[in-house]
Amino acid sequence: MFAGSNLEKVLSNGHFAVTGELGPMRGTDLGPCLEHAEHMRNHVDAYNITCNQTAVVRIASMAAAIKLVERGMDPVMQMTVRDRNRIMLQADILGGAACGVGNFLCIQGDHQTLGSEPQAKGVYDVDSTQLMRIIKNMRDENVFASGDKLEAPLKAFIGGVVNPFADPFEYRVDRFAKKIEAGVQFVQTQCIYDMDRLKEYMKRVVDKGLHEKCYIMAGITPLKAVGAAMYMKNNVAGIIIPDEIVARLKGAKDKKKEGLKMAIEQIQQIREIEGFKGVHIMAIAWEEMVPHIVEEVGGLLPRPKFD
Amino acid sequence: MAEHSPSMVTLCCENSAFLAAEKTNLPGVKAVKIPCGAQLEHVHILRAFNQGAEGVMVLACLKENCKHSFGNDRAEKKVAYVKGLLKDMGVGEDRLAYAPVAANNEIKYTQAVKEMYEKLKEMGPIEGKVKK
Amino acid sequence: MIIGERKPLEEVFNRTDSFKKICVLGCETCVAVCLAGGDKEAQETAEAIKMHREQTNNPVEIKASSIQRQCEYEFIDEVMEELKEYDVILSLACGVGVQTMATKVPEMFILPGLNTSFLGYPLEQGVWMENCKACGDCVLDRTYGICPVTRCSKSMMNGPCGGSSEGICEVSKDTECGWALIYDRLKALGKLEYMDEIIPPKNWSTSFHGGPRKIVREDVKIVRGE
Ligand code: SF4
Repeated sequence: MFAGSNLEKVLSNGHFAVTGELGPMRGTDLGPCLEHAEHMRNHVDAYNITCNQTAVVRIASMAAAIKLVERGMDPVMQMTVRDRNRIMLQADILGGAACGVGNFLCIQGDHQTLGSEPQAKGVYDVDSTQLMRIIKNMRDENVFASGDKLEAPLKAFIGGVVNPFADPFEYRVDRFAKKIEAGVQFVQTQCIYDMDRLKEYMKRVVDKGLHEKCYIMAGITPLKAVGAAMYMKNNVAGIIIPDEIVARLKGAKDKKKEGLKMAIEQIQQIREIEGFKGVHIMAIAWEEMVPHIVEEVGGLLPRPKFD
Repeated sequence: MAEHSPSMVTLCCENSAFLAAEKTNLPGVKAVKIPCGAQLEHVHILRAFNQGAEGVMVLACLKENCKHSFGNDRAEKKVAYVKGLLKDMGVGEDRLAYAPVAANNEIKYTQAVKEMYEKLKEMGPIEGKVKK
Repeated sequence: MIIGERKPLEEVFNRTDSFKKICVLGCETCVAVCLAGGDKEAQETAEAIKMHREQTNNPVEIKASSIQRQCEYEFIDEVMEELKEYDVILSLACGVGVQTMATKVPEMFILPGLNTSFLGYPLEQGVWMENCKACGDCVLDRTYGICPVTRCSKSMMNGPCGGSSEGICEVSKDTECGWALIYDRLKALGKLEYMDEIIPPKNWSTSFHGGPRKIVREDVKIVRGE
């Protein structure tokens, strides 16, 4: 065990893992976030806490992660390299680990000009791949990036993201391999809508044997409305929403119901694709629907328990 | 109050507009010969204003008809740039205009200039400017 | 070269409004080539200030002039005496020139008329592109000539990120993805294996993050008596 977190146990024991995403609030009340977590307590194995998601200022992921630890829940603390240099990144890893956080997910982060503080200075001291390696070295070699020794060892389960829908497509699998080389142990994908492209990507992943070296979780985001789908399709780089999906949503009477139905089907489909070891449900501003989705997929409940 | 009679400068390409301008006599308008639209600089337009013009018009050859290479197009772009400056200065971009005119078309020259002159009349003196 | 852009006129007017005798001084090197701060632009700026002053009934004595380089003392020397006749120098040089002037003529007010934008090159007439951040530790050997520090919006050393789509960066539809460019280039050169190498965290202490930088070369310094 690298961290002994619930997520690590679920994955390493060969269970199909389920995680949910929680976005901390834009004020000082963490209540709604914790409520969402409680609500999905019996349906997920761990909770991703986003880190200033879409470059919008929110309660720090570490603070929310610690609150979950206090409640006996297993957080996946996201860390973008956009807002912190290697001093603060390592400090936050120590801080999180000291308070019981076991899963650290390294991401690059959306560019600051796209968020709530477009005049901010982007840090980008290290990139996400380098951060994975830094955490790995802290854990396995007991050294900081500088080479200095840690005074007490770090336990960490290192996470990352992969995006099968970004370009250059032919490099994406090699990039994943590079992240594994850097130290990543589990990854979650960008929101999946384009099944054809996903299958092609996973085929290449499996051909290279990467699914044996790293747990891959499929990222699923239910669509709530046609407008939201169109916005993502046209404005969010690295997300592909095929026209059929939009058409299906458009054609449905009850858009929300249809969106949920599609998400459930997508999870059922990805379970059939070789290489996936879990699903990560990102029901953005729709967290209350996570239990419903998990229930409807079938075969995912009850979630495994460990002592 | 007597009607305002503005002073206006036309900066005319010697290969086209200036030949047309020579055949006209428009009160309040001074035609200045320039070698080619390409030779026009932003500063020339500003200087015209600083030397008392309340409106400036740049006139060069018809599209695709520059004696050199695209001097007319360049002049048009420069006019657009200086319009920006004039706007920033609070003088107003409408006090500057561009028009293409052929050498043998004094009628069009007259028309274009008169139209602009009428606009200048309506606008009145440049705000804040001390009349010399 | 150094690429600059004229400051908005309003800002220039506000900054210079209290001065009665102004010299607008262009610089005939980088910023002249990028059509922002050369002799022509100095004249244009002087004319604009004059016009504004007349409009606001605040007469000014203004002159436009330029020197070859404001970033070297010997060129400033040539006009030193003349400059002293003015209340202020509105320098159209880059930030380097403005500061060199301020050091050379410490008793005078020197104001910047440009925003110094970046180090770059003209992509085509009228378009300039940033392509060096002067980080002090060049990595172009790793990427065969395309700078990830400058051309990737997140200065990634191991890109591209998940926002790269059809060669375009997530930041804007007008921005090429630097890592897509690097990938294409390495592919064309048959060096794609470079993409598999994990580039370790960069040493930023050679960049501005080590504090203002200075280079001292004893071999070319002039020693007394030499
Ligand atoms: S899209 Fe490309 S250039 Fe933009 S931040 Fe990502 S890797 Fe860098």
